[in-house]
Amino acid sequence: MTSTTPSATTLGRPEDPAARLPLLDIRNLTVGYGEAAPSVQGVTLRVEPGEIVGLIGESGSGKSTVAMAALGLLPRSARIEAERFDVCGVDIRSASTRELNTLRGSSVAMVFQDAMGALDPCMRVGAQIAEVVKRHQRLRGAACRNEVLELMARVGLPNPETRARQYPHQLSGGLRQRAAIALALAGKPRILLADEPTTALDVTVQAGILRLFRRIRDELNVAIVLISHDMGVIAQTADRVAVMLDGSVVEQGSVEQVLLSPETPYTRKLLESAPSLDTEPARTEAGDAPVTGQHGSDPERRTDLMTVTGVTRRFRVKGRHITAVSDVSLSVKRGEVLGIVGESGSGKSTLAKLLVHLDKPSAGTLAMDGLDYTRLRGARARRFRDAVQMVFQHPAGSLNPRLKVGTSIREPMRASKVSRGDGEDRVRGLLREVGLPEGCGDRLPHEFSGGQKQRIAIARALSSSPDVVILDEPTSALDVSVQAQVLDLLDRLRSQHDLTYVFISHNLAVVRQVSDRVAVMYAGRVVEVGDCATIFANPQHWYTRTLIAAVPSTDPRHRNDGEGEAPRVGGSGAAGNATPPTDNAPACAFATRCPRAEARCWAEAPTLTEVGPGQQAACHFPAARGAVAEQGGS
Amino acid sequence: MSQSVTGASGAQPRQRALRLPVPPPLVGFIIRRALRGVIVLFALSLLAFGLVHLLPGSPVDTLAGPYSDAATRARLTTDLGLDKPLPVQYVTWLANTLSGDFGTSVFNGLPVRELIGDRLPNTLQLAVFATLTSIAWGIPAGALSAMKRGRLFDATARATTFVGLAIPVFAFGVALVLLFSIAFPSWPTLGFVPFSQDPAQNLQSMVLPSIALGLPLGSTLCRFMRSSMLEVYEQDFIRTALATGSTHLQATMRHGLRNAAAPVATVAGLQMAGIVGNSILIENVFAIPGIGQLTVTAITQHDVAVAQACILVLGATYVVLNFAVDLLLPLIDPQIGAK
Repeated sequence: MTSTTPSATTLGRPEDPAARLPLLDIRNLTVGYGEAAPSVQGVTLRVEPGEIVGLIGESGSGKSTVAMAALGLLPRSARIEAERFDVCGVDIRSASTRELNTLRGSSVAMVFQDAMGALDPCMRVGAQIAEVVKRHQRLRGAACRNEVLELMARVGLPNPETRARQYPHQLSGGLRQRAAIALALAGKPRILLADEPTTALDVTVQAGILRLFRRIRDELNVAIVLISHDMGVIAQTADRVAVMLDGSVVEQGSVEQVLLSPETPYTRKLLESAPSLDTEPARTEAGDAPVTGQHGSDPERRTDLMTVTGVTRRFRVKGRHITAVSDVSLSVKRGEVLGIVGESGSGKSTLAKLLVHLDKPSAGTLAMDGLDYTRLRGARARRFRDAVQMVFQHPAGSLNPRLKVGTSIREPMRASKVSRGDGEDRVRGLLREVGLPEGCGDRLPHEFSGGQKQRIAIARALSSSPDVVILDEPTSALDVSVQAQVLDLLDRLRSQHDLTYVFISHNLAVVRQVSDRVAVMYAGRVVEVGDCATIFANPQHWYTRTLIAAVPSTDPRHRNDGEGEAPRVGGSGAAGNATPPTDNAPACAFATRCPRAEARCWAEAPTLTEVGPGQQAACHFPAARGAVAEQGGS
Repeated sequence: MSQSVTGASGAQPRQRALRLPVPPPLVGFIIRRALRGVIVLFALSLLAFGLVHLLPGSPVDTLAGPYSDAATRARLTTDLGLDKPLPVQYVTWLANTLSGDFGTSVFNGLPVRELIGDRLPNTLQLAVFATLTSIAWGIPAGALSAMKRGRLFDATARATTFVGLAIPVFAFGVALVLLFSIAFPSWPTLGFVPFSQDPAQNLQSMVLPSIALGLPLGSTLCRFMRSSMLEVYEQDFIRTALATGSTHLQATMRHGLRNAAAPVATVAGLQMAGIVGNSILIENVFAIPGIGQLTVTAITQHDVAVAQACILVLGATYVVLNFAVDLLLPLIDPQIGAK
């Protein structure tokens, strides 16, 4: 890690009496627009110097509004009322534009969710940071340059000199967020507002960024307000927590107090609906299914339904070959839920497209019920499409905004020539089944919430009576409580319709909760596959172990503080992205990040081999059996 | 620091050995755009040749006159090479053109190269001045319009651009001529003085045509710039700039304008077609001896060689100007060519 020199920082200001005042002192804050119900109502929040306060809540709970209000960045139409609203000693309610401009950046700074959007795409990263250094530290020339490089080194950007000259699009997601943090720190603020700073990142990258936040607090004594919907993120990082619901803080206290012994029913509900690796996966309908995660009750019925053999998908991008999916062999058994996990760029979505025949493999075959459909056309291709349907991550994007939802749901039926009357009956039936009012087929997508849109997408997938549904991150865009309901619905539909699911997600906890078997993908390959319980209890591939260890535990007592815990992974954002290999990558793509890698891993590609009953891993040096991986980053 | 995925020490020698000579993305981008230009020019040559030969009538009619006898006509046809099959004629013409020989005008016997050489600078001057005029008012007005959204300036600018878009260019030109000849009788409203003859008078005579051509085209730019700016204002990096203490004006100047300009530059490039095309009308209104005028005369007179060369040169001008815009784009937006 980068060496840190406390002398160069704003450590303390110990004799300053202002340092002992709370940095953020909000009493009874209400923010409203027009005649509508206020989006923030009676919020009271104090943040002391050097403290990390977690602000947790679902979308629309007003967490971001509080942060934007503290920066004085709410639109002019907002009505702000408060008994007290002091930020670093400045009263936001009466501050002039000039006072606010000085306050922003030099006392309060903000880190946003989407680092790609938060950085100017037309400006070199170093120049953007330098702009803030010049404004607030009044440094020029070489002094400014050195400060920029030091900031970049401090937030863990490797080779600051090179990175400073790059544009945001040349950095990976994790590095970009580090650059955004450097930008926020450039004015030497005393309080940092971070709005979902890791939500868009892979779990291994997230671990590194969360550690960085704690380090910034420790070294620079900067207070941090960490806004997140993720219990694990808060549990791993915050000292105190405030839970928000519909614009109000419903519970506030130390992180242990709130997360371990929640007092309000809402906090309890939030904690229960958030799937976690800490607890045994609870079947949603506890009475119905055994806790072991076994679905199809007849073992003899569990024959192979879809077989994927040696499938490869290569793309040619500007003269470079990118292998998005590389020699993948898998089978999906009738009636099971096969979970596919992996980080961004691991090829899971490309595999999904191949499975539903939206894309053709460069090599290999895909078969359904023994029939090769790799190059199907015409009527047989249509019959195949009826049997295999897909649900996408963004329900809003996958529904045509100008089509009535009933029309969208009917669309897959068109191939099977359903008469108009029958079709309408079916649409009503499907809507009822996914828990929406029967008559809402006449409405347009924008009239529905995110969870309802996903229910519509599920109804559309079911309308051709498929055998298999490919679910590509079906709940990633949803709040936890809505996610729990949708997972519940999917489980019910599966048993009612005898469905087989392929469930693709980056969220390990969700995959563990719903799957019978799990395949772990890394850089286009399946590196480990096996029974769900076995994989999570006893991961053999080092990537699986890294992945499981990086999932933030929702138990604040299990903090992953040691930098050495996840070797060579969490420490740098650079290592976090599973980039699809170009033609000349090492034989085992994980070798560059693997703690166990030896020369053989560079020379010889490991193949999937049996490492235990119902478990295969592609690793030359699988983890010792029985040495149960410590879960949840403890 | 930990190593990045690609930077691991063990992989380095292998990667070097296997790396193919792939040009850097930006060079590749420029090469692709240049190749595209060449292909467009080739297609254009086919079109120019085809169109002129598709027109009813032939140069023989023009040369021989309506009362000529069959023998004269046959002799003229052979002289002009019009008796050969079309593909042969095309190849001969293309080969001559590529070697710089555009042929001679059947109408006045002058070399086409000379005819075009005399007029092309005038047309180019008009096109460049008109483009500059359109940019000079369209971009700032659009940006200011977005900054003052909903205020009086915005409303005025939008009303003006609406009128600018609705009025045909030649009508606007004629109106300008009438207006100026009444308001400033001493102003040279019509006629053209070459730059080489008298620079001051030349510039003076270019003012009205440039305005006539540039103002309506600037309306499109103004509209695009306004909506592009408004889009950029919604972006997170503007919020970041404000959150680090930039004033609204600083955020606009440092981060807003450049990001908004990239899509507008593409539109400006596409508008070149409009400028080159409309210059034909404007040259006629203001009596400027340019390519546009020459083209129209050549087509009405069945002056095959001149018409073909004119179409080709006008097209080439458009291709070259667009290529110039393509070269500018990566300077504005570093993501172009890198994707």
